[in-house]
Formats: sequence, C-alpha cells, structure tokens
Amino acid sequence: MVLFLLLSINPSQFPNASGYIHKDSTVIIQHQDGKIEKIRYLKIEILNDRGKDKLGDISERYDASSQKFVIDFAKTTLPDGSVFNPEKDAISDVSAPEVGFATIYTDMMMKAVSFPALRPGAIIEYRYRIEPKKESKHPLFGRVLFRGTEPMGEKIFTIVVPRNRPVHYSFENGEIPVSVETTETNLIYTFKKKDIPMFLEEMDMPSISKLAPAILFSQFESMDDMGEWLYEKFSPAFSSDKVIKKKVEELRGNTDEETMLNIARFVQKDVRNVSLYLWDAGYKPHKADVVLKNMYGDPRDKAVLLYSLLKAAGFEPEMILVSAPKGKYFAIVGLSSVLQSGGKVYSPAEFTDIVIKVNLKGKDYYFPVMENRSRCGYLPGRYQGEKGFVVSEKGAYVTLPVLPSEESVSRVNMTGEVDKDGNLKGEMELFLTGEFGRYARWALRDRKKREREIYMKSAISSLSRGSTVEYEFNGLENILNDVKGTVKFTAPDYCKKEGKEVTFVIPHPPFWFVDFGNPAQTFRRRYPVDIGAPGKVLYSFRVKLPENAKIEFLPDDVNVENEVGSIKKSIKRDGNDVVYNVELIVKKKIIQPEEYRSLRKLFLKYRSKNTRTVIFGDGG
Amino acid sequence: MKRVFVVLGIVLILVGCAGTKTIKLPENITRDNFPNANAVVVFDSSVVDVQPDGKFLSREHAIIKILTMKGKAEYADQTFSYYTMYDTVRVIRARVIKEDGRIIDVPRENIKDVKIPAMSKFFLPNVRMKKITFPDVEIGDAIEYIVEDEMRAPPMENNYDAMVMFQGTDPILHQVYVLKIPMDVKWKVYNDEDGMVKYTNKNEKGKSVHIWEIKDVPGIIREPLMPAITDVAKKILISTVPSWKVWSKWYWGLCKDKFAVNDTMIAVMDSLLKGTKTKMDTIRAIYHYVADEVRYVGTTMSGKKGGYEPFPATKTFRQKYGVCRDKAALMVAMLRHLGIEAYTVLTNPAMKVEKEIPVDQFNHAIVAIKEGDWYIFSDPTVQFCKDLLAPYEQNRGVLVCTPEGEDLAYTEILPPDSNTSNVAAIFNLNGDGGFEGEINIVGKGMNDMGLRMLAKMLSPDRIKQIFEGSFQSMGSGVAIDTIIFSDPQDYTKPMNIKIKLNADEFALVQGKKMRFTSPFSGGSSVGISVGRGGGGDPFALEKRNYPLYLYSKSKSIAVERIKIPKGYRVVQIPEDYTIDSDFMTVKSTWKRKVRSIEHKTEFIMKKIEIMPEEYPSARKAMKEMQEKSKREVILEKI
Repeated sequence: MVLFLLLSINPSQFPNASGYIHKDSTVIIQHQDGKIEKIRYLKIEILNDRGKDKLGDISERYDASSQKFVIDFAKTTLPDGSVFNPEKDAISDVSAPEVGFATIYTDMMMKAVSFPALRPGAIIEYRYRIEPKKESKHPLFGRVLFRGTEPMGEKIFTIVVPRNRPVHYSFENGEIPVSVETTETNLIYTFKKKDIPMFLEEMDMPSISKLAPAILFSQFESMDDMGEWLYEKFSPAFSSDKVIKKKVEELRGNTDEETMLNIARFVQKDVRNVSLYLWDAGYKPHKADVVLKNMYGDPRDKAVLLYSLLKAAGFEPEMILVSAPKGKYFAIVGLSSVLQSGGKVYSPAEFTDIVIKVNLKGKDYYFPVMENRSRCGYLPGRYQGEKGFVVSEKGAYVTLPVLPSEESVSRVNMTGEVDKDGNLKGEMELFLTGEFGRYARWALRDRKKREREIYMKSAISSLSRGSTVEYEFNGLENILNDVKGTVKFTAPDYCKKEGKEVTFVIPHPPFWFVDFGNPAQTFRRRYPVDIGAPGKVLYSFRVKLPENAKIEFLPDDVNVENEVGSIKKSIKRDGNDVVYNVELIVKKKIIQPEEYRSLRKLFLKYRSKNTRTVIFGDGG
Repeated sequence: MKRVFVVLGIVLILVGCAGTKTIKLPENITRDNFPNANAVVVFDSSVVDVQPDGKFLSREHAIIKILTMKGKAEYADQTFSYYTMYDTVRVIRARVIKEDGRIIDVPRENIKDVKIPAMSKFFLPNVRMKKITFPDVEIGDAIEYIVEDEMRAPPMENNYDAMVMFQGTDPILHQVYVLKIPMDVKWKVYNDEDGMVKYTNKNEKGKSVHIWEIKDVPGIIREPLMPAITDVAKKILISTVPSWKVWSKWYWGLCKDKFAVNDTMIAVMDSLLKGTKTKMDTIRAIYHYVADEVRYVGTTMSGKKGGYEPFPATKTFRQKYGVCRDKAALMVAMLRHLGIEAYTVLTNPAMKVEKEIPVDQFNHAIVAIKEGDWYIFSDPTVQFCKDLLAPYEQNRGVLVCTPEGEDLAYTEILPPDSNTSNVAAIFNLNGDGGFEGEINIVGKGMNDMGLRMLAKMLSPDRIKQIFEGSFQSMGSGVAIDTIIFSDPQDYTKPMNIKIKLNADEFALVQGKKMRFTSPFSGGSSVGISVGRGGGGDPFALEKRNYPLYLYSKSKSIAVERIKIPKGYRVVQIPEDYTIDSDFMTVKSTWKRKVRSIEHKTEFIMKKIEIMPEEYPSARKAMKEMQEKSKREVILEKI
C-alpha cells in the first residue's frame, strides 16, 4: 500500500494529461532462426475520467496467419490495493479498423483488452507477447517514437539480435541514451528515456510523428543494400505487356505532356483508392496488369501501374517513397508499438506513400498516386519538403521541393454595388491553383447538385440572411485543369445603417477554400504551424457606391512584411467606386513557434474588419 | 438491427438473362438525368420467406448503377454484417455490369468473411461481415449482387418484424419487397402521402404473400438540422407481434434475472446514500454513480439473446464498463435493491419510433422509475448530465419493460426554461478601440451538459484554444487570459464558466468617433442555441423540403455591460426591439448608465421542430433579428 502510494503521482502535476505512463517497455527479439518476437509491457495510471475513456482499452495489431498473440498478464490495481483481472469476454479478437475499408488487402487482427474497475488512481498493467509462427525473411528495421500524447515516466526500447546481424541506429529530434551489450550469441541495444513530457494538441500542428524524438534502426548495411531490397520488391510487378500498351494507346494525347497527364489522371482518379499506408498490406505489390484489371489499389499497386504505363509510353518515371502522414495525426501515440521508418539509417518503413516523378523538357511533374483532388502534376502541400527515396536499381535519397507561393494562388476578383439602403450585390470570378484548387475540390466536387446548392447558400448567408446566389464552377472534375468559378450574389441589408450613414465592411469571399483558414487564432504557440503549402491570396473588389455618396471614413492602407510573408491592403476611392485590394502571401510551409508572432501579425491584419470598413453618407 | 431490403422489379427479365454474357441497362440513367445522384438503384428486391417459428430466409437482389466518383467509393464495396448467434449470410452472386453490357463475375477471393473491425468503443468478435469488393468498376458501370440471409434464431421466437426503407439518399427506379408468411401481419406505410407504394397480396402454399412495390423514387438530399432520414423517408413497418406490451414483457424476461446485487454493491450504495434525505436524492446519487463511474465500452455479446440482454448487474458493477443496456440494468438493480420500483426502457434517441405497428425500432436502453401513475426517465449512459434524462431525449419513443407489459409512450417536450444559457459580460473599452473583459456563462439543460463535458473531457489547454478560436468573431486578436470552470462533479449547482479576455481591435475608431456592435447582440449567446446543426446554416434556404429539428426548446439571456473609455460620451445606442413569432421571441433593450451602457437580449426558441410550411415565417423572423442586431453604438470624444 505504501509502495503503491509512492508510485502514484499527483494529477495536479499534469493538468492536461489523462493518464501517466509509468513505464512503456518494448523488446524486439530476432532469434537465430530468423523469427522475430515482440514483448511489450505497459504500466499506466489513470488520472481522471478522461483517462478512463482514452486509456482503458488497449489494442494491438497482429497477423493471425504468421503470429500468435499471448497475454502474459493484464490487471487493474486500485489505490486500496485490490486487483481486478479482465474476464474472458474483456479480451476481444476483432479485425483491425483498416479491414473495414481494405478487406481485399488485409485481414490484420486486433487484440483488444478492456480493463475493468477503472477510476482515477487506478493502475493498469499489461504484458503481452507476439510470437512468430514462421521466420521473417526481411531485415529488421523500424522507427520508434519517444514522446506521445500522455506524460511518461520511463520508455524503454530494446532490440536483441544475433551477433552477426548488427543493427544500425540513429536519432531524430534529439538523442536518446543507449547502451549496447554483447553476449555470447547476441547483441542487445537498449534505448531508455525518462520523464518524457506529453504533446498537447494545437490546431494546424504537424503530425507528432514529425516532432517527437525517435530512434531509427535497421539491419540494412547501406543505402544500396536497402535500395536493392526495395527494387527486388517492386520491379517484378512492373509490366509492359500488351494490356498495358493498349491502355497507353487509349490515353495517348496530341503531345507528350498531354499523354503523360492523361496517364496520370487515369491512375490517380479512375483507379479507386484503397486507403492504406504504404506497407500496411505487405511489401510486394500486385503486378501492373492485375491492378489495371482490378481498377483499385493501395499506394504500392497504384504506383506500380502508373510507373508501368508511363514507362510503356516512353517516359522515364521515378518512383519515390515518401513520408506523408495523412491529416494532423493526433492518435494516442506513445502507446503504439513499432512504427516503421528510416533516415540516415537505411530503413524503408518510414515511408507512408508513393509519388511518381517525371521530368519532361526540364520541368518536374509530381504524381502522388493516392491524390485525386489536386491538379495533375502539382505536388500537394503535405508532400512538400518531405524526404523521399527513389526506388531504382541504384536507389537514392531525395528531398521533395517546397513549392513557391506562386504555385498556390487564390485569386478572386469581385465587382459589386451597394445602394443607399445598405443592400449589396456582386459577382466574383475565382481562379484557384495548387492547394486552393485542391481545397475547392474537397469542398465541392463530391456534392450532388442540390447538396452543392445548399452548401453555397449556407456560405453566402453568412453575409446576410436572405442572400441569394448563382454559381458555376469549372475544373472540379477535371484534374488536368485548375479550378475556376463565377459566383453572383445578393446580400440584402448587408451594411449597417445609422441614420444617413452606412457602414460597409467589405466582405471577403465567404468560402473556406479560397483562404488559408485561420492558423493564428491563439495568442501563443508551442509547436510549429503547418500552413499546408506556401501560397498567395489575391483579392480585389470594386464596388459602386450610391450616386453622390460622401465617404466619411476610409481605413489606412496596411503594409506588413516579415520573415513569414506579407500582407498589403488598400482601399481607394475611384470616382463613384471604392476599390479594395488585398494581397496576402505566406512564404513558408512550416512556421516555427518563434516565428508565430509574425504569422499572427499577418493574419490579424488580414482578418481585421476595421481595416476594410468604409463609412459613407448620402452627401446631403 | 434489421437490414433494409430493397425490392425486385425487373429481376424477372434479368433472371431470364442469367445465362447471357451481356446485360444492357436502360440508357437514360446518366449524370445529366440524375444530377442529384451518386448512383441509381436500378432495381432492388427482397423476398422473405418466414416460418411459423419466426426463422426466415431472405434473398436480396440489387443492381446499382454508378454515376460519380463518390458513388464508386460508396458502392464498389458492399458489406453485409451478421451476428453469428442469430443469422448467416451467403453471397449467391456478385458481378459488375460494364457500361457496354459485358459482365465481370467477382472472383471468389474478392468475397471475404471476416470479423467486423473494431469501431470506436465496440469490440464485437461475434459480429462478422461478408464483404464484396467489386473489381474493374468505372463510372457508368453497375454492380449486381444476390445475397441470402438465413435467420436461424430470431430474437423473439414465433414472430417476425421489419422496418423496410423505400427511399434512401440516391434514387430508386424500382423496388419490391415480397413477404411470404404463415402468420397474420399488421403493416403500415409511412411518409407516402403521394401514394407511391403499391400493395398486392395473394395466397401461396399455405402462406400469405404480401408484395409492396414502388417506382421512380427520388433520393433524399440532406438539409441542415433535418430529422433522421428514417423519420422522413418512405418506409413500411411490418409486424406479427400483437402489441407493444408483448415486446415490453419479452424484454422484461431478458432482464429480470440480471438485477441481483452483492455485498460489495450494497456497501457502495450505503456510502453513496450518506446524507441523502429524499427519494429523489437517492435516485440522483445512484444515477450519477452509474453514469460517471461506469464507462461505455461494448465487448462480446453473450447470453442466449446476446446484443439484447444485458450483462448481470454484478458483472457491470465489477468491470465498471458496459453498453447502454448494461448500465441501465445496473441502475435498475441498485434502485430496486433500495426499494425503488424501476425498470429497463427501450428507446431510440436518434430517430422517431412509430407507434402504430409494434416493430423493434430501438437502439438504446434507459431507465424508468415509477412515480405515481407514471415514470421518471433517466439515461445513465449519458455522462456529465445534471438532469436525469439528457436534454435532447425529448419526444422520444419509450417502452417501459415490465412483467405486465406496457404500451409505447413518448418522453415529454420540456419548456424553454429547461435549456437555458445565462451570459453576463463586462467589457472595458479603451481609447484605441480594444477591450478587456469578463464573460460569465451559466448553463442549464443542454448548455449545462455541454459545459460539464468540456470541463471533464478536454484538457484545460485545449479548452482555451477552442474558446480563443470561437471568440475571434468578436474582435481581431482576441486572447483569453483565464478560464475558470466550476466543479463539474458538483451536480447540485448549475455549471458555470468564467472567462477573462482581451482584444486589441474591437471598436472602429473613426477620428473622434468610436463605433461598435455589441458582442452579444442577436448574437453569440443565440449561437449557442441555434448553431447546433452540422451541414450548414439551417436558415440559408429559401424553402425546405424537410422539417428543421432543434432537439429542444431553449432560452438564452445575455446581459452585457460596456464601460466607455474616459473622454468619451455616448452619442447613440440602438433602439430597443421585440420580435415575437410562433417560432421565437427576442427582446433587446438598451440602457445608458453613468459610465457605461447595458444591453440585455432575451431569446426564446418556442418550438422543437419547424415544419416546412412554417419555415418561411421562421426564417423571416431570424432575418429581422439579424438586421436589428447590426445597429451600432456610437461614442464621441468629448
């Protein structure tokens, strides 16, 4: 009881935590016969009601055909010392979540344990082993994060390998203390870190897998070693048989560029995505002609098909494995087991996706195989700046470019009219490239006609109730082009009227897809901001005022430039018109915390209503 | 839990074509002709053959033509789930019909039978699924399947019941439902004022054969804040169960042996009841214990009627987790031990339970406590709720499950006072147009529940980010200094939150003038009540096809005091106004004080549901409120 009290922590030390991970230990053993075993031990203290929900059910994936899941023990210990073991029906064998949407690719299982008797102060202890049924033919490689979404007292990661199969390791985002022990038959690498703080969730932060200290380990001796292994996996799947060639001819265009884009569009858009990460379904893709026949694929399969079609068409494509986690990824990391990854140490498991690159007449075109909302050839923001590995007979690391802000432009030109009663009407022309084109497709493409109507009416009604809207968009379906649109609207009683004075706040287009969003909402920032991609928002509005309107107030121009970007705003009188121009440029994709003030300055000026308010009277 | 079966129309022609290598579908099924469809159900049929003991074999045959990328994503994989203790699913046919008429059979390896995946807090190893992955599907192609479901052990023996949807989110060209049954059935068609569903019947080999058929049904396009699709779609309810009382008694039969308690439970109850004086105190103490101490997790469904019958109360108590039926049974067990008459209740908070035909439309279990002639209802699945029943569970069908059996009833619709938010705010304006301020929010009903949930389930850091984000509309650069919640565990008092904040830019400084719209005019506190719906602004459309469902009536009062900076005087304040309609009442009043102005807004939402014919006047009232709330306060430098 006294020992229990000593182990218990004071929740007030961790006001943002749901639980405290006293110990998280993983041991990976590569036996002499090549079988790989995993042993995991967790000791977690529940700190509050949140913790019961977040941490009370622990799941782990395993492959039932090649692995056996053994639970050594699982128990809940309460502060009074009483112990509760999960009953038989608290231990569930179900399919892993990805089986729901990728059943054709994977039958991965998941062992879930629901811990009983949880309350604040309860301690969960759980040890399990994943034992192999057969040897693994692959070299050992992986990546382990050493920080997650709850505070940790101690995290230990141990690799045991035969002496003649050493492991190479390196660190990301800071070093982790390591000891290496040699026995008669084995090498034992032990990585251990104590007192690890938790990540707190912040909007628009990068994936925590990019921020956390991590170990990269691998048995590949060199880049060539890994490159050869990868090439052996993929190259048998490339194909140039008559089925592939026939498809190429169907897609041939009038020029090389057209042919290339037609092929890419076909694979990116028409071959349906099975949304898995790169290795979730194994290492060997299906053959290209099989993927073509199926018309569906995960990243490996779609990449093999696209590569084969481009090659058969006479291009020289490059297959680049990239690390690009989807979304902002804020799962309960820190409890997850080995993620697979690489780096200076040569490890393929870091990569989650594949991009095919073609250089045509000196210009690079990028085709992420799972991406079907960007204009063909554009590299979406989540891939920009990422490390990649070219799969070829002689592999090589590359870094994908961060595109300049000119590649993602949201240009909206509006003309309109305000009358003396404060009613506004106008027409906008939208031209959206790069990231903004992608956003527009996200927002609009998959909506039915009436759904799109409801969406557009909802957006316009933010100007005023009773607004009407007509619109037409081009390029939503056709990813060979950028997105263009025309929107006509009326917004009755938009302006505020005080006697004979009308206050008119010049509206920004009320659609989220023409904008960066609001990444600078909070006063302070702990972690970097991931803007998506550098870009430009260019907005101009020429509005006609009532006859003889007398302007009582025009705001000053805004002109701010800093290391993150710039904002320029001006409102000028031009005869009976007022002309408003704004140019917001964000030069960087990732804004560090020390640069956040500069980012916030730009966005506060951009969003400020006072800097786009015009007050006019009737001139009488 | 019952799958909706679609109907067979042109199947006779296609069965005749079963041996052919091509099938030509009607050519007019195109995106241009169906702009509101991702796919069109060409035909959809079910033939259900029921035995006297309630076992049945159903065969579903469907052809669906894909029109868009989204349609391909939605339909090119088909999933049929089943519970191993009740039924089995077999795939009889699965194939792709290409646009040019070629047929591609789905290879065997594309039809998988696996356990259903882990979903959120559900780990159900005895629920499985048959999954068909259709290959080579392109826009313009169709998918076809024939699937059988063999019900080997019906939950209620010797009976059959079903809810059959005749409308979905995509159009249906032809649907038929055929029921062959030796027992008498009651049935009714809903939401079919235009009489599209046609019925015929005949006798065949000692069974009644009932046939319902429909053609050319448009898909339902969701509107913001509309009721559940099952509430508005064409559907039929069919049942051999004679009455709701039979269902009530049946479920009582599944629960009655689960209410035993043990010594540990008794000891806990004794400690919970220290200090309680009244029956209501006791009920509240037990309710909060079960709601807050027993977390929501679903594991293996066990027992003869797994998925229906709860775990024994002792088990749920020990493991401190369970699903709704487990939590309800635990609460009933504890109350009954304390001498309070209580029962499990079947309900559905998400959709309307139709009364006329006793069909199982339930997906949730709560508790009823006898009080006089009627019951107090309580939902121990809902955490952090001050009230016994979650505020959104109004006007929901409830079936109290007793030994004698009860009829279906509905929970009451509560007055607006049951869901209130009270906002008291002070803003100190400075000469640059910024402010420092304090906002105090006290919630009742849904607002109380929302604040408690925030305090308990999100980290303090995250809460601050959320509020900082949502207050950006008040002024540029709003920053929150502190947020203080009252104790979310103290259910004796309403939940309140105190926020200190500041903003650099709020009022517009126009030379010697300063002007602003008050932060809560018409305003943010209303937004707490109205802005609940996903899917866009519920008042954006000129007209609606479906009702606007608000979950409850509500009331909000916002009192804001704005202190004016030294050296300024008030030149203008907005006029008072009142808007009074069937849908809502808004009163806005302004007062000048010595160095400040005070604004009070009272907003009452009087209806829980606005029908399409009432919507235009409700929209008009909202529009009027928006216009009037734009009026500005103008200050002038002295």
